[in-house]
Amino acid sequence: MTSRIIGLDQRYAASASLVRHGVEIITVRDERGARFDSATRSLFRLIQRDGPGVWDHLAGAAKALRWRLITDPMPIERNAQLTAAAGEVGRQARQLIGAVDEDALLREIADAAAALCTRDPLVGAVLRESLTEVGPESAVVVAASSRSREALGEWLGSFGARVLTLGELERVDVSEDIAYFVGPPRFFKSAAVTAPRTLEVTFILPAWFGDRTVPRSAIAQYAEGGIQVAARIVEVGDALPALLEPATSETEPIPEEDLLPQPVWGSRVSEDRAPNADEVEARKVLLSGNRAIWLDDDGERIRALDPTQPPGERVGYSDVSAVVPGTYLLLREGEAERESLRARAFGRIGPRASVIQESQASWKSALIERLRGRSARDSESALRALGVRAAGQVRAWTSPHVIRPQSDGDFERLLGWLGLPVQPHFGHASLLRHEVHRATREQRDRLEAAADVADLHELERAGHMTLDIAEPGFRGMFVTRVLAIAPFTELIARHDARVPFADEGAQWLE
Amino acid sequence: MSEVGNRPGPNVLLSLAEDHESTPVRSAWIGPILALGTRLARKADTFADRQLIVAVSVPSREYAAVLIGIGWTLGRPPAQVATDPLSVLRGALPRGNYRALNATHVISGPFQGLDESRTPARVALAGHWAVDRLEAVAPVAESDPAEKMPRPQVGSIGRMSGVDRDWARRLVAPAADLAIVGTKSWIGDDLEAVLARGDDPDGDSLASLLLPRTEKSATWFSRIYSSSRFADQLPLPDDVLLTILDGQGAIKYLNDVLSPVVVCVFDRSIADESAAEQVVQLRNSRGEPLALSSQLGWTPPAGIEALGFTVAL
Repeated sequence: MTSRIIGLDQRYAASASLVRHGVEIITVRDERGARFDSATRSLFRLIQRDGPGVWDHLAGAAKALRWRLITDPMPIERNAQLTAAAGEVGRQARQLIGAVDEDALLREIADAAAALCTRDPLVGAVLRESLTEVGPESAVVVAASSRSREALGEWLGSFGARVLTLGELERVDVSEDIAYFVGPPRFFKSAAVTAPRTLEVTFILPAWFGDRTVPRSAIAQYAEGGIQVAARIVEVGDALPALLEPATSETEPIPEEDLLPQPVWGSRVSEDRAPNADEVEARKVLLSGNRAIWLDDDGERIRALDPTQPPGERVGYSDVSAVVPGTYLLLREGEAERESLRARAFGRIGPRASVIQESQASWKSALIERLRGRSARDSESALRALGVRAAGQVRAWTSPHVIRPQSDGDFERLLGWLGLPVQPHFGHASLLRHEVHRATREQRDRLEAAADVADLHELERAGHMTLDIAEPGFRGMFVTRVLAIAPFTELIARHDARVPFADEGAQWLE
Repeated sequence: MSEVGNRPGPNVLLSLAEDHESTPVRSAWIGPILALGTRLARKADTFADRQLIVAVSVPSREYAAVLIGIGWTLGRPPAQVATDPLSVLRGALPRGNYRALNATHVISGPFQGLDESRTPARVALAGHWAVDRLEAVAPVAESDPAEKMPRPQVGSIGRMSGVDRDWARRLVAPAADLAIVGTKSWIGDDLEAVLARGDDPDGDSLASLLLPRTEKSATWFSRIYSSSRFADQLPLPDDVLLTILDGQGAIKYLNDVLSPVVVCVFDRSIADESAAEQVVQLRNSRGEPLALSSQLGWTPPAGIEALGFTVAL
């Protein structure tokens, strides 16, 4: 194994090298791919005109096939992924023929998809040539997903080249000089170019894919020494078409973003009004394993697991605003984790539980009553005048999920403002908070222990797994990767928030 | 670029070795990362009433936070207290906590009496000690976890930075104003490394330069927190002047950290960019940008990007 410091030194050198020399982007002209891309774009212009609905399945299948064309350029005889995706496009198109009045387009899409299976993808041939040129021992191939990595690995493995995902490239010793990324830069995290493992980086993609933007680090724009990596474009492949297709210049081009596999979100169904007391605004979060949750942001963090961390430091909390695709959430079957922690705390408190629940309910309902009919700003400034430091949190304190204000002083002044005696409310809420914190710590230790024995590589491969923790009286827990987060919120029942449910919205996602 | 201390001399690259048995690797990024900490230590007092936030991104987090922290501890003077053993002990308060240093150990505990009737004089402080063998004694605000620990030694880096000249005073009365939040076991691995100037044979272990507070500490320069448990440990003690948030998991707590200086270390090899966006948002909404090159006299080396700004506390 390379010494840690030599490995680190190479990372600094590789990063400096890319800033100095940039990356290479090889765009491969492939007329069959271009024909299918063009047919897909015609379909999307139609959808822009008519709206989605009837086209959803065909659109999803077409996006999935485009994705495969970019990420899985194996020869046809080894490319079940591509032939299956092309077959699905044909099937969806044929189902619509006769049902909608766009036969010519539907036939063109089906034919273009079928034609893709009659010649090995050129991107693959260019990749293979490049590897031969530099020698497979000097080059590492990086795939856009672990599924593509398996397929490319089966094909290139016998040739002697390593095929890894970007995440795997991060973890292994790297002695190769050059990395070939299969796909455009935007299919990979910015680490591909801002924290490279090799002195040279090359992306290979079909020329019909229009977006060649090279990502930069999130702070580069404002930083001294900001890391900006330039790109040299090299075109290879089929001869240039004699004429550019006139249709593309007439209309607004469809951004690549819209043509990538996306979840099915539909549109907001909730009324446009403030949530009532039993409701919250929440976004749908699609999860690996065909599940989803409604995630509300009431200020309470959500339990997350970071498989890249060492034992004992993997289980933590994430701010709701920090939950992004790729975050691993720890969820409990059939209920929100916070409810389970509350149940444990009350279990420990024993016979006094009902007294505490009543006490909590009574000061919270007094607060809700007090806030009714006056603006949030009035209440805040009234509290601030009394010396309540976290007065901005006053709405959150009405939530059953927020046990009490953090600061003792704030809580006492709040109770005073409500005209309530400090005791017994103060003591009851503090005992409840103490027990919930204790349950939280114990639960974290149990989860850390379960994460230690779990196969976390399997988690990264599959995206979700059940955690082996036996707790009599409580339902099981699982870890799952966030795939996508809805662009809009819905009004949902408070008790449904953060409770996992089955959902097929991710079916067209990679 | 290894300009860290006060002593003149040719610019020599610093080297790091994984541990005392490994071969040192000399490299150009080590000195500037250390120098950032030292610059901050010297300028920390010039941003009165505002919090100074510096974000650096590195290709991989390894050693960066610890080196910045060491640069800081080298640059912070020890507390300005008298440390002459006999005069401090003569004025010592009964049961007050004190630290003492002899040739082999640091001793810490409540003062239990000075016996000047014997020659040499003896002090009762976590055991009985001959006062003429003590090099320095100083009061401590809060008792230490351990009564006794082997005396940390300094070599190459101590000479380069000049801390060898007041090492005894630093051991009994350190500034102790640094906190690092990150993945504790990774920071632990980092601390095993050995830092040296050029080919100096007597490199210093990062642990003895940073001297983190542990169960075995009779004195300490810094505190280390695990980011996964940090939420339960807030707020940080008031005497922390610099908090280093090592990695995206720690940077999420930026808004909860109120120390006058904060350094965020981004690991660019980690895909999660939400923490970086959080810092950029804070800079753009409440921050006043600051040019590190002119206002701190520090320029990032190749492979590192850095931004600085201040916010009202």
